[in-house]
Amino acid sequence: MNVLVQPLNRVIQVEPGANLLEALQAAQVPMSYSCMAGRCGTCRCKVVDGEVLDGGRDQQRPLEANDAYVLACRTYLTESCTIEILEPGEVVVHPARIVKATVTAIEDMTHDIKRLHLKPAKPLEFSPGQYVQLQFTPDHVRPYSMAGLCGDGEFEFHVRLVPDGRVTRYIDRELKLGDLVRVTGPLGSAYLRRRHEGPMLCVAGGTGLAPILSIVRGAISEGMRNPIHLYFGVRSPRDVYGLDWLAPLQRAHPALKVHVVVSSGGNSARERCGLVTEAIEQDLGDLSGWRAYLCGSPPMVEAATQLARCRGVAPDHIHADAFYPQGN
Amino acid sequence: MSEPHWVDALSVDDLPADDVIGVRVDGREVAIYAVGDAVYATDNICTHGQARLCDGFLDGHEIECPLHQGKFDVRDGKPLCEPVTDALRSYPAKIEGRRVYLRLD
Repeated sequence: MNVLVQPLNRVIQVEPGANLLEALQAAQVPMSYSCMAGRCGTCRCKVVDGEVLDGGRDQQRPLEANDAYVLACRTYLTESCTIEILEPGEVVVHPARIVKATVTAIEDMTHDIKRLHLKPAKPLEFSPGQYVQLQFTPDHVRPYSMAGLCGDGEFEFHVRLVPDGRVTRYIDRELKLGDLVRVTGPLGSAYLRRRHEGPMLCVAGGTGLAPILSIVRGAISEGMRNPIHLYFGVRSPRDVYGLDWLAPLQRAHPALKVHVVVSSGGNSARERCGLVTEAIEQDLGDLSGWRAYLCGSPPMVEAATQLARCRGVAPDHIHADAFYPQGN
Repeated sequence: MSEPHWVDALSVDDLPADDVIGVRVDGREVAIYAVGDAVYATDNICTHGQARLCDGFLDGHEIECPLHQGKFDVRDGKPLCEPVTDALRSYPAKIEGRRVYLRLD
């Protein structure tokens, strides 16, 4: 039985029932992966022709529910088929780890956003834009994106306190300096594509600024010269934060343009009012050849995805991990 | 009977407190665990999946695999919960003169 691997145009021999990720690895096909357990979404690929046995859906990607996408680690081969691997030139392989980390700082950023610093006992490699699962206690577990870079030595997270949120109430009221947190990851497929040379559209809603900061910091530290258009959408003027970090990034990378957009209660004499998607529609024309990184609430990510597609961004060049509110 | 052969694996200074580290000793991948003042060693590769236990979570004497949450007792390699059912091979370990020694035979 044969699997044709595109865009490499390579044929690999497999046994019926073989796991797709293992078969690709055995054939030394360049392939991104991390958790090998159907959680992280990194080994997403496309079934172009033929049938496979799909052992699990990509949980973080229900927005673009496209049946052609599978997670290689959850996919078993039952007949000859054609697979397209995404971006063989942008492979990321960070072994999934569980590390202990110590809370080293908790700061208020706004009336309801806290910045959390954790120092891991052992390094955990990740790509800019990825996230981890934080376990404060066995009953208090949530995913959060890193705002910094792998080499920082500490993790930085932005936590919005959700009204009546059980986990964020714990972070607000119980968590203290020196506490141990269990960090699992890295997770996520919305990481910085380092080889891309065209313009980047970065859209952050609220604390979605954390992974966008990581992506921008990563691009600058890698010496990427891409024009970067960052749109930061918040609900009201008192929700704006992080401008002190964006200013030095703009000085280091003049091709970074930052637009803060306030959706309600703003004063148009002082700030830009409306939705981020409206601002992007007004400012930008055709986006062919661009990459879009979208981080925020599912409705914002969905609206921005639609807009990016309408303006010509290729579906595979829209990078977003959707975070859905979790029950209490 | 020949004397037991103890192999020098690493310095005590490289052993993270109450944590696990992966090392290669005589061509073998071994996980070394520090639990308080005690030291233990097992094979590094999980008996269930292709995971390294040095990437897992050590809680007391229990090591949790990073991929599927199986757990083993680091003292004897015994599986403690699903999905792991086969024991890890464990190795005698000791600290002498600030070095960690293992018996792999």
